[in-house]
Amino acid sequence: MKKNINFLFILIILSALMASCAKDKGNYDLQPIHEIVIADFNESGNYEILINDTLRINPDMKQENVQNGKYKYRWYVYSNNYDPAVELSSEKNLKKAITVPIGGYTLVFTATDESTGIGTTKTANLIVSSKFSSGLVVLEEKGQGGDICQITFNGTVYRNLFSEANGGQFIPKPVGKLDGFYFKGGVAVQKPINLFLTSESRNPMELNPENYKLNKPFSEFMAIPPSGNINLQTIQQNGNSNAIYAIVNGKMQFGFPYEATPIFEGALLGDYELAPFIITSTTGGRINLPNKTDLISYDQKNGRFLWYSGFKIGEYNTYSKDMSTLGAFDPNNVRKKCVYAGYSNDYLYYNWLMKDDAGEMYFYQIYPVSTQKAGADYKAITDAPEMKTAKIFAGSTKLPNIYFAAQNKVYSYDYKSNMTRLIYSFAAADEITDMKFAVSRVSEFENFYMPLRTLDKIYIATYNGTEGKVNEFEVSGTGSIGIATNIYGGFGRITSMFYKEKRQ
Amino acid sequence: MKTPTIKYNPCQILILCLLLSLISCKKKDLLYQDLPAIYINKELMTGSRDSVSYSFAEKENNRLLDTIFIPVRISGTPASGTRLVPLAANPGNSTAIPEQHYTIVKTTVNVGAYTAKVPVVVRRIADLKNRQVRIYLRIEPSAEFPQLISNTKTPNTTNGNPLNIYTNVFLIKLSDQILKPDTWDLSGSWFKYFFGAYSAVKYKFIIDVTGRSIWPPYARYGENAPTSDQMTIYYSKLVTALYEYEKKNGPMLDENGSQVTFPKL
Repeated sequence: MKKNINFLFILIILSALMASCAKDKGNYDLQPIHEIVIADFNESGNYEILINDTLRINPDMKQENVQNGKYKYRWYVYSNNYDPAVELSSEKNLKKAITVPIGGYTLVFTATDESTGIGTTKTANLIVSSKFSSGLVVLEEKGQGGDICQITFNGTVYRNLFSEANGGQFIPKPVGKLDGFYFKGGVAVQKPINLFLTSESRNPMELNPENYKLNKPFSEFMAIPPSGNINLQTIQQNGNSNAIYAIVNGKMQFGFPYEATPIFEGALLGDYELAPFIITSTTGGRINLPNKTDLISYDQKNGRFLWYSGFKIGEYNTYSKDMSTLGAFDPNNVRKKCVYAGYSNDYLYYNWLMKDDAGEMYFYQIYPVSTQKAGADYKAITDAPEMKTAKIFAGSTKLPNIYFAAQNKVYSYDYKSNMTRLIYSFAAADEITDMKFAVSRVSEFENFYMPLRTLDKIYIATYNGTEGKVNEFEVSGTGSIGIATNIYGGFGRITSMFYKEKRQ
Repeated sequence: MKTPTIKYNPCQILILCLLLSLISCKKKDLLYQDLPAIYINKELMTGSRDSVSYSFAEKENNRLLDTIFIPVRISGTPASGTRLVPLAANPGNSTAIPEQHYTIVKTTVNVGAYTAKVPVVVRRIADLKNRQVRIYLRIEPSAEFPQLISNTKTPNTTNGNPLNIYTNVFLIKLSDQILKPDTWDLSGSWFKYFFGAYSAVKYKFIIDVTGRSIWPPYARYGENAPTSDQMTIYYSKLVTALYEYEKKNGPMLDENGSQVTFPKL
């Protein structure tokens, strides 16, 4: 009996095993899937369009062995910030005015065979910009007051933008300057560029960077605005964080907002009055630097450098007084007037030009640490008498050159060789009124998180007493600028230019 | 000696197993009933779940009374009639005077309901400016809720062990003075992160400088809680105001003689 039961068990197990190996001889009605193939849709490239313009795409669609198929179509976009999708069309050919906010999007096209449910989806990048999203913004002073023009990258000049956007009013004289910064947090609301109209005698105003309409006073960007006049001397962002800085009435306004609207939380504390230059440092995401300083400033009241590191308001710091390891100079004891500061061609070093009481010029370079080693380089500049009277400077971050303008001439100071050379002369009647590099403000690991990097173009504004011009030059690898590649005329006296890079 | 062996027939064993498995499938009605009980539902509370400090000094000047709601929950099955919540103050421990400093509003658990909220109305009486009074609330056994629960436990979802154990009493500390918020020192508190160690002088300075007298638990949760950016701005205003104060007056000292400072962030 026991043998019978064992035999029965073995039989059951073997039957189960054999059944699992049996070939499926089911009688299925298999048919090939007739894929839908889309052509004339640029999946690998970008579609670029100006806001309110009509986007037209006529995709070519084929489906094998299907004649007169009935299809359902869907065109939609979603933003790179993953906002809800925006439907564009349910037709095969897209013809739709694009009214979504300026920024980057993914464009999606789907086609579905209604009888079989077979479908296909194609995606591409879509960049929505405005006429004024990128280019060179020019602030000019004319008889009736100031106005704003913009030179786009294709050479088109749009004029009278401020007066047209603001009900015919002009900017009161003196018209002041343009300044602005790129705010990383603003990307979430498609508004990373913040542009301001500044003046020593007027409270600064924010301009809508897309149409130059007056927006709100700068005081509304400050949680603790100073009483009385607000003189916004300069403003800048940090390279790899949401930190923002502005020098107002000689004090450093600081903010580290997490939200999309930038706000300055208050002034850094201490007894100081800053020269109007902001240097934020970076280690490029590559090195761990002990005693690193995030922000470097020059206190012209006490003739010393100051530094700050932190995420919230606190007291400005002086440098270590430990003289056991000396730098090229004592950052606590400079006692000169700062006329220029900027980023060098090395992401770890920051340039300063100083003038002493006798009018002699000096080059200082700072390394971002809080010890005496911060004093990286110091030179007396002896071959540039024109620098003593220069008021317009522009430093390259590609070359060891600081350009400066005196009357109608442009000079280049090479701080590696400590030599200065004349690189361009305009006509004797021309006065140089501003000089700006094309810059990129979007910082990433690949560009060492530098908050401001110069490109290969430099714009020099001149005024001959009746007409202002913007002269565009290509900067060569040797620092020379050759002859102007483009000249844009018909302006009043240009007091300031602001470069808006093209957003990707 | 030869050990005797019992020989089983495999067929008999198989039949026995089948019979046993059939018996195990028989439905059995549970015969179980517990006495009704009710407890203070501290799972619904934030911050310190055993007590709350309530100060009229942190409220608007014209607020003369307010209501603190005590959530309760029954144990057992819902009843077919309403039942009075037996929440009362323990006269032995309480220093607050009933109907003067506070009133416990009579509340019932509705038909078929598991929960209720008992309003405790607190009043702004003049003596609260000078002292803090205490209302020790407890559940008392009643005819409708004869079983008294001393502790409630929240089981850990992973191993079933108690994650939290709560007593079935609740203390209200009532005053019209500046009081330390209960959640100041708790983990995740923005009070401690942005403002540092508590002192009464510092807290008054915070209220004066920020203009904010009503602070939510942890300074970050609940209705009208400040955002991170708002807290940063409060912090900036405070360190700036303290810097200006110290320039004119020297260090600000608190009630313990210690210098008022804010953490470096």
